[in-house]
Amino acid sequence: MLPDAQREARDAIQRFVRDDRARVLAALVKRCGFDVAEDALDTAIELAVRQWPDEGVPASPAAWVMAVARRRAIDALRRRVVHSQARATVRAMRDEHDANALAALEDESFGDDRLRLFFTCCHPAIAEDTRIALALRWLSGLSTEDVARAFCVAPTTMAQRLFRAKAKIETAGIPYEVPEKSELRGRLASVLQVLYAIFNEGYVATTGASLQRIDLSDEAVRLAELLCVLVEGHPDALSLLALLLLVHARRAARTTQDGEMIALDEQDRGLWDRAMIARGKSLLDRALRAGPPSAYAIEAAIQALHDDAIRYEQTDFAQIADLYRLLRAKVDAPIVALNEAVARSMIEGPEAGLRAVLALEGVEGVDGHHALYAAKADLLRRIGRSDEARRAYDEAIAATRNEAERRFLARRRASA
Amino acid sequence: MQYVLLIHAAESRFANSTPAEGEAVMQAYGEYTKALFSTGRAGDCAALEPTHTATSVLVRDAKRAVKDGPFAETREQLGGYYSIDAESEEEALTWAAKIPGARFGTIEVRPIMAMPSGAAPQSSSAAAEVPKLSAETHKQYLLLLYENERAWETMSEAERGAVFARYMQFSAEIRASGQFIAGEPLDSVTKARSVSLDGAKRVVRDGPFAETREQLGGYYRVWAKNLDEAVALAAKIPASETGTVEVRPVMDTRAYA
Repeated sequence: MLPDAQREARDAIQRFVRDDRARVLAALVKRCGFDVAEDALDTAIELAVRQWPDEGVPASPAAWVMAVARRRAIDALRRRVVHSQARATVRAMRDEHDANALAALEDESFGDDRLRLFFTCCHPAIAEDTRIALALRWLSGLSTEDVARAFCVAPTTMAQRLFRAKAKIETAGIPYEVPEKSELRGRLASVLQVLYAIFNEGYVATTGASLQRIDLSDEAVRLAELLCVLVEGHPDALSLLALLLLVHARRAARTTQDGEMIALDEQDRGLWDRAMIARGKSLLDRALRAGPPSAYAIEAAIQALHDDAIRYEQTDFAQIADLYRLLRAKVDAPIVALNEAVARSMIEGPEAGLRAVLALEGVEGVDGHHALYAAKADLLRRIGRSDEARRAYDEAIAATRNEAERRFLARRRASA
Repeated sequence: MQYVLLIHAAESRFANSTPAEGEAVMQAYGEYTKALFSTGRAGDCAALEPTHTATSVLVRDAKRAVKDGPFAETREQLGGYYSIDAESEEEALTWAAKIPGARFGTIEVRPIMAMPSGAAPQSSSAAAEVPKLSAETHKQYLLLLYENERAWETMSEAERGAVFARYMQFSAEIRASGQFIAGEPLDSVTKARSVSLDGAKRVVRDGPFAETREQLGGYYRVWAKNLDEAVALAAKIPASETGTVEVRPVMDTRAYA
């Protein structure tokens, strides 16, 4: 066996998992349900791993996997307790010629299948954490081990969670369909929320040694891109994609080479991805032209203002504070009020900012959050109340679980 | 007197049992069901899918909230029920003790609430043709109504009447659409008795299976195309506004019928 053939096969499989797994899974699910579909697909991929290095990569890897998985699915259904519905499915799948199933792969409607998969795994009757896990597993094609790592749980725990989610989808009859137009907006919200959560976990990992998990952020961006195509540029989806791009554009500047966090005011703005910023801004424009701004659009606009500033001091904080106020009317979260207070402190001075921040102490949702302590500490440091600032930094350090963020706070504390 | 026998047992027991053990339990239930129905006294019964397939529905300020999971996390879970027409409470307790689940769980015996006269749904003589739904196109769900029954006590007669009318309206709607299979309002938990077996010995104690702030106050067994449709039905039930409606898929037990 030539190493070249091996490498070629490995690359083809990786490409398949990244680009095609979700659509093949979606097409299979439509035919025979989640349970059978996923097992059949995994078996087909295993077979590819064994055969392709020897026999060469097929002309259309996706079609090859689809054909093998489809036959596996038929076998699996035959082995099941035979009730009328399973029999009907077997008949339907057997009657459908290979050629037709393969043609379906090239079909435009494939996008719809994937969109169905999207809405199914983000269904409100599935726990929020599990929606994210399912999206990573089914739409991104991450392995169960990788998903487990993203959640900092043991692979067996994640496997069990995914298994139960699948059982819930099948048994409880969670529909495998795109919701009606009248419901789309409400249901799209939960899909967008899942994408934002995946992105944020990548942006600042909840726990662990490194600040960012660029792989997760990249994945969220990729899924948001896909979603935008699938929902034909729905303004909420465009706004979220814009927001992700406008933040993701700064990824190279956010950490030093050895993974230390760099705050916005100290970043090398030359490292920002200008092309990505331009694209984010043009998507945001498109979304804003389509109607009143969503919360994501306002957040995107705020990030665009940060991206526009050539130096930190030149940031248009007045407009940012106003946008946070606007956002507060939509999302009544104290963390938004905290961000507004910080932005205002850049115009009205740290004393005014501190008063606003202190008013948030004891407010549920932000009390005890490291962001509150960190904002308070920064403001006290700027005023020159060093002792109090250091105490606040201590509180912030105690409240954060991300190592890189803790080291960053410790450095700020030392300069207070 | 009509009673509902509510079967509470630890799901983990089934999850950890071998296929043969599971099969044996299902067979035992099949035989029990046959024996009970042969008396002509049984009303309805259903076996439920495990609680990890449950969905909870709440409506607050006209906004619907849908959550994963059952109404309450408990060590033992509601796994099914039988409704029977018994001569006496003693007879109901006797049938309860014979349920296979009594050996490893608890059977709560609850009287069905007596309907005010004239409140019973009108017979369908005048009604238009009711669509016949089946497992070909639909799934069965049990909608479990949980709310604080104390709230009833503090209501005026007129307020109760208004809520009651809404239930009658809902029942009439789902009868007309063919979705209704069965459903009963339950009497207060203060009238509940709980039955379990200690070896061969029957142990009966007063009160419900578990003391909770909100109690099972009734149920509907319905046909729905999918979970979305079942959730939409649940959100129309008044209990979703004052308590929680748990939507649980009904197990397909046709193989044991």
